[in-house]
Amino acid sequence: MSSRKYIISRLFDSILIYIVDFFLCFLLLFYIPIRSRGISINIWYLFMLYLRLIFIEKFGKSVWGYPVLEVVKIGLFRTILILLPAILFATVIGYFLGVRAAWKRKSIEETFSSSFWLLCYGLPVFSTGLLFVIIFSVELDLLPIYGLQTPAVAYKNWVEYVIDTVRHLVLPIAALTLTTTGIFFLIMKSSVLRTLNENFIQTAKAKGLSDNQIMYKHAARASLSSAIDIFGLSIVLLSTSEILVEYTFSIYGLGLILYRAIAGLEYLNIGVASFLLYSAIIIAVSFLLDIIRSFIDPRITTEVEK
Amino acid sequence: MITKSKILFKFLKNRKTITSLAIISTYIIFSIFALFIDTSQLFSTEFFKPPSSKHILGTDGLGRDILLILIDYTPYTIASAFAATLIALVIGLIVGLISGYYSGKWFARLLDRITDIILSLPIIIVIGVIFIEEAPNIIGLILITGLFSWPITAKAVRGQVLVVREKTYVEASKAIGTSDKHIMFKVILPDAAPVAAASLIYTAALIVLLQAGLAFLGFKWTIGGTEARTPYTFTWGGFLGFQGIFAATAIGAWWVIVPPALCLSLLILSIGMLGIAISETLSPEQNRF
Repeated sequence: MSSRKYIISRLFDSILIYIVDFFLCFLLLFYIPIRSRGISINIWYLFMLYLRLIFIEKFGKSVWGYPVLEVVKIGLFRTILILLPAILFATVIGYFLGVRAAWKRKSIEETFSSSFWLLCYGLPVFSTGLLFVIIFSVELDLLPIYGLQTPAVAYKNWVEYVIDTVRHLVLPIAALTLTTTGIFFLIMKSSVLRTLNENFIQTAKAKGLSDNQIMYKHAARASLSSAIDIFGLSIVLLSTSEILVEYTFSIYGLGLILYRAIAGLEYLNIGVASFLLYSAIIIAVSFLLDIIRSFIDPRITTEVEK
Repeated sequence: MITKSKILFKFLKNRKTITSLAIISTYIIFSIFALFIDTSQLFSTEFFKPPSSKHILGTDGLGRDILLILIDYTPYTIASAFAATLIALVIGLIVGLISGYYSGKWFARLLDRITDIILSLPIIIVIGVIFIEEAPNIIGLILITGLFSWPITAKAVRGQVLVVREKTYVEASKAIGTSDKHIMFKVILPDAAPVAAASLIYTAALIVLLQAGLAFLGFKWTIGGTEARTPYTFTWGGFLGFQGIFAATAIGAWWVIVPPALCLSLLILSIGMLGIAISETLSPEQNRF
């Protein structure tokens, strides 16, 4: 199977999954909540209402009267604002430390670093967030506690606005980065360990290459494909952590909107809109990861054919 | 000839096994102690007192000794985490075996798509809705988190089965007319089991994060249909998530947040390390961690 065919088949799969998500969204965020409030209504009629809400009314309005699409668009922007930097930092730190830890396995400093990152991996993201708030906001009074902007402040110019936003972003991004780095560290270390026994590593050693060259040029590259594969699976961990971070720091992104919708603090239509957007993002990311992986390791394009 | 006792000895000699068994047995001892705690005596008027000789880990916003509530909440937390992990492991193993061995057939494709669909959801929200609307009790919590966390194991096992399926000994078993069931469970399973065990660290992290996260978000659950003893969910996650946690944060009471968080982290690591130790024992040529 050529790589083009592979991409098309993955695209087809992604669209299929999204269509199923569309129906699941109806069941979970529309049908079940309405039924549990004691309203007996025909499921097909309700489905027609669901379709009308999406395609004719364009999701309608939120509790405060703003168009849902606008609210969700801003929510998406905020979610990306904390998710993207966290993933970038975590990729860089986790990649280098993970590869090093696998290479120098069983030395004392690496045992220490592995234990530390494993502990970070296990710590629930909201507790690290709250701990950061205690250290940096309550005790040291350096950074703001919640939200993205200081409430009721008139900014003189856009520089002040940006600085204020960045100051608000530091703690949530730090909390998410710590957890995500734990995930990447674990993935990278276990993937590299699997390749270290292979023959080409022995060859590279015999050629007299330096440790750094073997580590990052040979071992890390060979294990990148399996690392991306496992990362695709741990997206569920990442999205869960992200939603919890938004709740902890009261950042009104997609995750918090979804939470408020199912907790009964918002109308259902905003929950439907953000659910559809959130699952679209996750599907798009895993699709992209598969494409990247097929370029790194073309063998997987034939795996599908079997 | 490797005997069973030799394998067991090798498994017990592993440092990871020792660490995780030590943590798990500590938690089990905690659970036994929890039976003897008189919960009505926990409350006092010493609110948010830092650690001292009287209260080793300090007190929380209701004046309860934190060490005592940690011990009191242990049984529910570890029981729900272990049970859900077991459910996820078994389902993931079976789904991975079937979808890998029969890959290409329509039902294998269906299983693959179901796996992908579960992985594409904002899972804590989905679980929250089903949990709060359908089954807000501990059995519901275990079942729902278990039923939504198996895709990680299933995908890992499927990848391994696809590789093993092409090995000559599988071809040979097929050639002598062994049944598919026998090949799957007697020939392929021993090679797939280490992968499933190694994936436990991700599954356990997801399950514990989901259970603690639900409690933190304020989804309350009951035991056997009756209301909980306290207004709060009594797991370590609920302990972190009762509304007073933000009050604790505001006055800088770090001693309320650190102990349950560390306990949850060690719970994840003990399950994960046990899985890695099992997989290292079963396939000694590969280092997992």
